[in-house]
Amino acid sequence: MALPKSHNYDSKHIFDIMVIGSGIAGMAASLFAVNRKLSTVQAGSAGGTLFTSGLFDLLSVYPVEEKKLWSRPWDAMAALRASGSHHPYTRVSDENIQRSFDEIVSFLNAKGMKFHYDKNLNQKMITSMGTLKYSYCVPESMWAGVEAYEKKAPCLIVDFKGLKEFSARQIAATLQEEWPAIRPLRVEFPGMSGRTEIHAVHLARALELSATRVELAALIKPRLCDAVSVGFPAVLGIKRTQVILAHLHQLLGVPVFEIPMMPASVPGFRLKEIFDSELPQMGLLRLIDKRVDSVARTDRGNFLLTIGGYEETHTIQARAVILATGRFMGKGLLSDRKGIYEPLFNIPLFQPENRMAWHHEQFLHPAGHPINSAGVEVDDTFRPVDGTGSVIHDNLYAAGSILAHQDWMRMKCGSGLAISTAYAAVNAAIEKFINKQDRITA
Amino acid sequence: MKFAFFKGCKIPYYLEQYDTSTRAVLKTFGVRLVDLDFNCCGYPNRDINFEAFVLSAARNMALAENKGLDILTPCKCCYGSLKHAIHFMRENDALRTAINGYLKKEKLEWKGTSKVKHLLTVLSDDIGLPAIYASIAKPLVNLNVAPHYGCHALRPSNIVHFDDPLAPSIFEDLIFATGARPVEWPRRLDCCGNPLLGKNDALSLAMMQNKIDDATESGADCICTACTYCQIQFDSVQANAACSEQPASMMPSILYTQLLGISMGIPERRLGVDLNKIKLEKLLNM
Amino acid sequence: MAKTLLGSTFLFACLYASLGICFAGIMYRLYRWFNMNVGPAAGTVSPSRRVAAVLRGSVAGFFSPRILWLLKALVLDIFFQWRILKTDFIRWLMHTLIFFGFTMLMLMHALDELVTKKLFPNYFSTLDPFQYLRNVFGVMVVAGVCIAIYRRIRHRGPSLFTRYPDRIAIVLLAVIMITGFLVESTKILSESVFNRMMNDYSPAGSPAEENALKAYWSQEYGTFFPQADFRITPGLLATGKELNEQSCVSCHSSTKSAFVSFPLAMTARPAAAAFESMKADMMLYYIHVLACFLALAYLPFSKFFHLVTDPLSLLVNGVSDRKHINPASAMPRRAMELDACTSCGTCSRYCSVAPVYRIMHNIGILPMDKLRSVRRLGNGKVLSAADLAAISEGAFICTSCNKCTEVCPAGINLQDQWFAQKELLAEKGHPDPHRWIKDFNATEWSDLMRQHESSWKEVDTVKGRYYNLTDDSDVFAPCIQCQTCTNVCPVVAARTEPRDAVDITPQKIMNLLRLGLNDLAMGSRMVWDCTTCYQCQENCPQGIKVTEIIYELKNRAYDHVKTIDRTEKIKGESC
Repeated sequence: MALPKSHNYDSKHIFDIMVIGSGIAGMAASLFAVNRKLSTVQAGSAGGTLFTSGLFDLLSVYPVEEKKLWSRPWDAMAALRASGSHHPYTRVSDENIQRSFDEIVSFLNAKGMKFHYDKNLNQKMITSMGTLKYSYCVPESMWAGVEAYEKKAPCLIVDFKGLKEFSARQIAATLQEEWPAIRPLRVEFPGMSGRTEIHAVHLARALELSATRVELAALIKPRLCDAVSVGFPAVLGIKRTQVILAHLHQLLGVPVFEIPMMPASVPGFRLKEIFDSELPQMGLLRLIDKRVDSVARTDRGNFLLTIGGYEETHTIQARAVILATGRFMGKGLLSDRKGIYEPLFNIPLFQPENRMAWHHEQFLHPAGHPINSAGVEVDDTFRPVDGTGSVIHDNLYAAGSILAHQDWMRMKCGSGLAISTAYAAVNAAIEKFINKQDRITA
Repeated sequence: MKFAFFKGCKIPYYLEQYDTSTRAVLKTFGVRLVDLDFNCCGYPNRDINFEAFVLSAARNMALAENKGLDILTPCKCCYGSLKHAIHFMRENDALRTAINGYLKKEKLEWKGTSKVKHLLTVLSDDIGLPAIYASIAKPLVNLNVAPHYGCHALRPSNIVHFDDPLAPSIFEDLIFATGARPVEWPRRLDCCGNPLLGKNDALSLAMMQNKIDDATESGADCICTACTYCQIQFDSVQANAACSEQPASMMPSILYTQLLGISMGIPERRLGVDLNKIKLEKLLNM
Repeated sequence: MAKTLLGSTFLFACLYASLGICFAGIMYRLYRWFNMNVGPAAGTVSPSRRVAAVLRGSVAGFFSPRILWLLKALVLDIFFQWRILKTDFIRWLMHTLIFFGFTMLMLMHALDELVTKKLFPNYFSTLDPFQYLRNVFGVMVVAGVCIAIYRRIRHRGPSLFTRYPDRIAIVLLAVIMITGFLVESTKILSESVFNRMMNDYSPAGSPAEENALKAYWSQEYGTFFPQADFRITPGLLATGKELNEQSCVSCHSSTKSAFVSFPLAMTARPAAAAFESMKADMMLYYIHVLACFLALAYLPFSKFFHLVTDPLSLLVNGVSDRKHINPASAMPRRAMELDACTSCGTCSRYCSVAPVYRIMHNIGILPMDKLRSVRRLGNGKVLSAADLAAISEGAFICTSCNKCTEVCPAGINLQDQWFAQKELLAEKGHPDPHRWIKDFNATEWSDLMRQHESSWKEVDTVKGRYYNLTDDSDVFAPCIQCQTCTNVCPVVAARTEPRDAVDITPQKIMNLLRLGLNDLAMGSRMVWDCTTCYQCQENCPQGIKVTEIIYELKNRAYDHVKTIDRTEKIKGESC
């Protein structure tokens, strides 16, 4: 079967699923859909996955008010379920959450971005600020850092002159007490000497060339001393990270690792590259930067989506839609004076009474703000429901941060939420909808 | 199939082989190319004057509309420029009225009835990959080709409608058809640097060199282009820049029409292969 | 004819004077070819080296296989004017009519003593087919001139500006042709001319015979006898005819074969007496001949000189390699080509950037007029800053598409002229405006803009006629400063010079626009080093039109630059 191509797809084709949104939730939903051989189309802006750190969190803070940290995520999950929360996690079983992680990680591993995780543990790792962070699923490029921190072995942290978001000295100073064997080193990045400002992605791309790696290693090797591992800012290539890690290991004689940086970071670009380049090859049709203008339904209940553009307006017909447009940054939710609204399907939202109630009086209130838990309410199969709890469209699903009753930033559950709800939504769509009709595929 | 052939400004003087090879290849697929009295596509003037750019582009399209023909261009910058003009004129009524006012003096009008297509799209969609596969007489096995996409056909995708801007595949598919192996290389979607030539030569060459280094490291025997400017950059500009340094490290660049033509068994003379500044020995020995 | 010329020492003197002027003029032109500095680094090549290079080049060309091209140029391009026919049939018709008509008139009629008489010993200007052919050729030239006038009126505008040299050439040709026909007509009518001929060729006639002949000529040949005291009878005419056949026809065919002059004479018959009394035929004859002499003297200084330079240019460019230019021989060639241009406007009609002219109204964009500016530069004229700026704009808008060179009927290597001109302009401190602006950093540019605020304020009134991205905060305000644009920017990544690196990145441009610091944004190196690869725009998560914004900043900066005296800065630097 010929895969749909962006330059010549058949506009009469009826897709099984249309995913709207291109963040982690949208990408995960698309992946799960193409993995299940559904004919899938995705709309959304480019670069929706850029704002991830590259780490996949499951759940490490609960309850938010107490800022309680959990090193065992499933224990946190149990506490969450027991509390009677409406958090979207409570609609997905632990097994399915685990399966969703397995599926996405095996995809990424196969495409060259390897991840490490321990089923029952959150990993402790250092950040570019020198602080500690709990995360569930860690890129292999950072794994040596997790081990180094655990052993507190002698370690060299390298930074580059002009890379403003990352200071080895600050990391070393912050960690001095608990990890005395950590040592900072500043070098000029090969080929970028004399610059006062350099950018992580550019370094990453430069390191994809072996000549740059050789030059860089030559600068570091003499200053290695007793260090048994070397930490870099997360700039070790957008593509070929495995090759770069191995090459630097070989050149320096010790393992190297990356330290996660603030988004938009290089690991975010890596994820974007993999999703952008691999999913279309698996059969996904991507309509990039073409926003959905309007939505209608056919007599048979299929969605008809008009995709914008001045020259040609595309109409896409799909049996089911997964809405993964995110919150305010992804423009999944918009606000006006009266409150917040969902612009595409005009789904009624769970939200504070009025704007006054959006935030606590204290900006840094530990419980977060009511607006941070606003969003789309769903039933157990992730179909949006109205205020009375009845399903709005039987073939419309929602996934990711657009969902109500969660504060992923404070709970450190963003990726897990996105991945597991996308998983649940896709499966629900197959189960409840697509399987019940005669599927016609191109 | 019949198209108005929009060569653009650089081909006649700087890159004749693109003209001859395109004609040679398309002729075998029964595509007729019609030459009209086109002017500049507007791309070089876009820096200077927006209106002048749109008028230049619109005039060309109006000429093609007059003959009832769609436009085929082998140059990605011309393609992008014409597509942009279409976009702006559809979006902005005042602009369209003004431009048609200028055109009226020549008894022309832009209505937007002619489509603008890039050569690769015509090969891949209009002629179709099956026909291309069927035409291959001499598959170029053992040749590793790095497809260079070129910016102005690919982006911004919502205006140019060429292919998926982040994961395009049209060029790889077409190279694969010739029997050659399309190389995966990290910088395949990057700019060749040519737009800065004459404006900031050092930067232009640095950008080109980055791409060449990447292609070399990715195991490419040559870069393949389907754009006038990109080919000029990778061929004559590289040759000129390198002649003082190390000619041995030069990366040959071949036009897709030459690559396809060779695999179809069209004589090299008709494809103008000898006009390329950097010779691709591996190809010539095939 | 020569006899008559000899008859008038005045005309004879005029002939030699005009020949002298013509010769001196040609010498002057030749001298200019080897001394005019057309092209870069002109001062370094001495005239003698140029002469040597040209000689060497010609010899080499002559003994190379390219000599076949020379033959092709000679036959197709020069004789049949193939290059004109390719582009414009009407113009080819005009040129062919004038060229062949005039050449034949010149050989058969003006130089009859030297040419026609040698070939045809029985030649008499009044004898057919010569008399008839003279009218044919005359009609050809007149028709050609009419087409020329029609063309210049019909196509007047950007691609064909008519200037004094064009007008003078047309007027001169028209005068020569019209007086030529009029001379012939008045002669047909003139009794004194009849009498002179009768004296010369049949002196011994009786008054009766004379009357018979007169009657016959008056009836058949149109001669007008004001005091005719005979009545025309068939008998008299028969005698006249007989006499005519005896003494006249051997050297005078029927005037009716002068198919233009004869009807002309017949229409003017009522005024024949007046013509006769004012010796109109002599007067017109003087005008006719003097106009010819004037044309001869004026030849090296006029459009007519293309009779010499165009074949030369076609031959030289027919054999020389157009892509590999030897600077020493290129300079005289370029100077010669400047003389070969006939301002026919073909180049401007086919110019790839001609539509730009309609928006920018800078005549320096069109090749035909651009060549004039090359001449002005080559002549060493001191040009005002505004002129230089306009010339520079025109020169650098050219896309080097080579079309002008391909279509030029004179075979001028225009492409090479443009290359040379661009380099020369750069030497003179008027490089590509893009390059010029790039020499400022953002702050310097901002200062410059403030300094010239009054001059560009005016051009800004038209800004944003269609789009106003840089002033509309809705366009750039959604920027969340995520730096994606900078991260995907190949220019920021590849910058090697530290001086360039300390600059404004794309997301900072959005910030500057928010702050209303558009001048600072406009002067940033980011804007002028942008390759317009659209990575930023494609990848912007907020959908901001980053590249379009950069384009608009460039457009606005260009508008501002036009109002600035660019030479000022150069002065400033030298102090």
